[in-house]
Amino acid sequence: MKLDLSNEQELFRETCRRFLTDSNTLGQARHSRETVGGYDPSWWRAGAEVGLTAMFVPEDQGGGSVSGSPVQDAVIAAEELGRVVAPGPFHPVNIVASAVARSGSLAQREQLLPGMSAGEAVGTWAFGEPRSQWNPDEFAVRGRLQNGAVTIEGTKSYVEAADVAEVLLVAVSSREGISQILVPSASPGVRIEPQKSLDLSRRFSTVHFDNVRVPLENVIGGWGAADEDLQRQLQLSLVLQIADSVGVIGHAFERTCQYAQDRIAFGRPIGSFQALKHRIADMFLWLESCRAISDGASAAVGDHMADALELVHTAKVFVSYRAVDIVQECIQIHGGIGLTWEHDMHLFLRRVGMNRVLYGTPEQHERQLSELLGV
Amino acid sequence: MSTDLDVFSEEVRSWLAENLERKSDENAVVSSDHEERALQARLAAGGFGGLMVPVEYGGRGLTSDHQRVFARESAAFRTPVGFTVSLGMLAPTLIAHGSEEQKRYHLPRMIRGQEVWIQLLSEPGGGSDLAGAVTKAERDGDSWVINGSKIWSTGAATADVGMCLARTNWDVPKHRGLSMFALPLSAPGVTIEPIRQADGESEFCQEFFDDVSIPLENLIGHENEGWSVAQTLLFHERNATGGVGHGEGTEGGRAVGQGIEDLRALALGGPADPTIIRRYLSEIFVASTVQRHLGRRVAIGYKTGALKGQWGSVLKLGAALLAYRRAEIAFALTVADGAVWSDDTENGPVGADWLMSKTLSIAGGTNEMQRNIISERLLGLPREPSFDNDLPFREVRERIGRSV
Repeated sequence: MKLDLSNEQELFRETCRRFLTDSNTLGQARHSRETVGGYDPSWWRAGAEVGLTAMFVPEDQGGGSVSGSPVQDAVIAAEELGRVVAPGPFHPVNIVASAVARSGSLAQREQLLPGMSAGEAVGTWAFGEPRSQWNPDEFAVRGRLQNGAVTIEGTKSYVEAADVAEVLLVAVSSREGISQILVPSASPGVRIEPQKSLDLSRRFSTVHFDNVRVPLENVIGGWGAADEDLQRQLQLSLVLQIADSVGVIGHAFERTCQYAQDRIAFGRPIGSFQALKHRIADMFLWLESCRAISDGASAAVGDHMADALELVHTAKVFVSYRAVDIVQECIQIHGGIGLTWEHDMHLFLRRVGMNRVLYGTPEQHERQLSELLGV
Repeated sequence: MSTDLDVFSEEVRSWLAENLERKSDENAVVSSDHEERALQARLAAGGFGGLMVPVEYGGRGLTSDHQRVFARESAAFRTPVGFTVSLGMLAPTLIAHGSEEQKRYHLPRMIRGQEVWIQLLSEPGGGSDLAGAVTKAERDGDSWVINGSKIWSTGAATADVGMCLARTNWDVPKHRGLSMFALPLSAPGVTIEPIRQADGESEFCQEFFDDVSIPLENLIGHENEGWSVAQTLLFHERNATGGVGHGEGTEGGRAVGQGIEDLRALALGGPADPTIIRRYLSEIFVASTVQRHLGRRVAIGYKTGALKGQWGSVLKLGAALLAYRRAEIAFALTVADGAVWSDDTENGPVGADWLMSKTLSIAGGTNEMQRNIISERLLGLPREPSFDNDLPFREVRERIGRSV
């Protein structure tokens, strides 16, 4: 979390936290698998009222950013949601909203944004593929222009909240280049196959497109011209994911520090042993480093800075590894209780493990970073 | 960036261009003490010698933001590199605890490079346990008489004044019987011996004090309250080592979180495997970038008041771990050429850096001390039980069988 939030941003953060605490979001996380979509729709509508869906939506379509910086607002919310391993389509809805607000036609904006902003409709981004390694150059899902319509063929994976989404923003390759198309999930030929995932709170599906046909006006931002939008969405996805992980580890760490003070062994709090407190100090260095690079990357993306991509890769690599290190150390310090179903630690570990692989593994991002640096 | 900082950075840029030499391969060698002082005098004449020091003591009374701007702008120029201790750590300590006369006398001299200060804290018998110091100061009429020895002081051979922690009361617990003094290194009875390090160089010294007599007014702060002066000093030391505060940029641009250009130059054209080069350079780029952002975060937190207390320890621990890893990677990138070299190659220093790569993990408070500070003072974890905190120091010494 940035240390120089404006008053509006600080208020927004507090409002998010109060909403998530009052609705006992963390307490519900174990039961997410038992419900449709993993969350209660009325909870999500209440979240929309708090502002979880508003930041990328223009005011005339029912949204608005509290601070004038939509990326900052989203990062603040993402971190709070991460703290309580929240379910719900926060991530996909905001990515789709940002894409539609940025490059959608007036008709697309009017059709999609008010519903998503109100928490009534869900949209998601179908980006990853089983073999593409999150690399658009290797997309196997193809789009074809045919008689004023678009035909889509292939399979997308790891599509968050696809099981409850009305609309899918599908990234495809074509002869003309990368394109993005809005596809109603009820379209003939769309088959959504929900998967199990490490993260109990969130749902991911495999989505098959079998000769799916939609009108040409469902294309966003021009046929074959989606490269820039795609990069923007990817960077945004990554900074939200990183902020989510930062929220998780902040909470896991606080709980562990408290435990180290409360738990007595050999006649004194275990946190008084240097063997443990020194490790906790190292974890704190990692945590603060994660916060620092998360702030740096999100500010660079928000302000469209020249080094944004470099910082996003850097943050993704660093936070992916360190977030897992921190939660695993938290578990170690808790001892056996930390590995039980009733304790929250496994929820935290599941979340950062999921975040680590989504939108590219740290290994892949390190590789991309080295290419960017020319080393 | 505010307009004020824009104006300032314009002022800095034009002054630097007219008054200082740009760094180049030829002039990059460490300059002599004489030249260092001359460079510092030139900075002071231009109004850049003590940016954060109040105007009444010869400084500019500006903020850490200005210091950062100056550090950024001056990184490409030849500036003094040896006054981080004097200006980054001891000047702010003197501002906080010195008497009005001490500040008016010493600070302008420090800023002009006429007076260089070092710290005299660690002793041969104790480094981490600083409050266990046994160098003693006794009052004798109009003077304090100092006896004992200090060690690990950087640059003592060329410095003028040492800020020296000495015991003035043995009958109270250890933290409450210490006082801080300004000790002129040219005083009779002071002997300075260089310490030869593992790499053969001598960066540090040991000092011996044999009935060194100094005026009463050289006491800094109050008698027996030296520990709080030492705390202030350590606070600034950690910040400076971590790259924030008064010391920012005083190491001539070799700042914490520097880039990877030197490592890239080292690796390219060398015998290392390209896959390994790529992996190591990416790793160190990530680590350096993160450390730089951590410094920025702490600086912002200090400024907005969101962070208070010993955050310098977080930065210092991060910087030390990074420096160690960096030297390790540099050594790996040279393959065997970092271990065997002829005098006309660049790899000798890589091997030497590697040999001394634990320096920052030990100097200025070990990693272990930083971890204690972080866990106890920032996170509130309980201390390890110890027997020596509440006993009169004389009794502690007796219990462990040492003389007073």
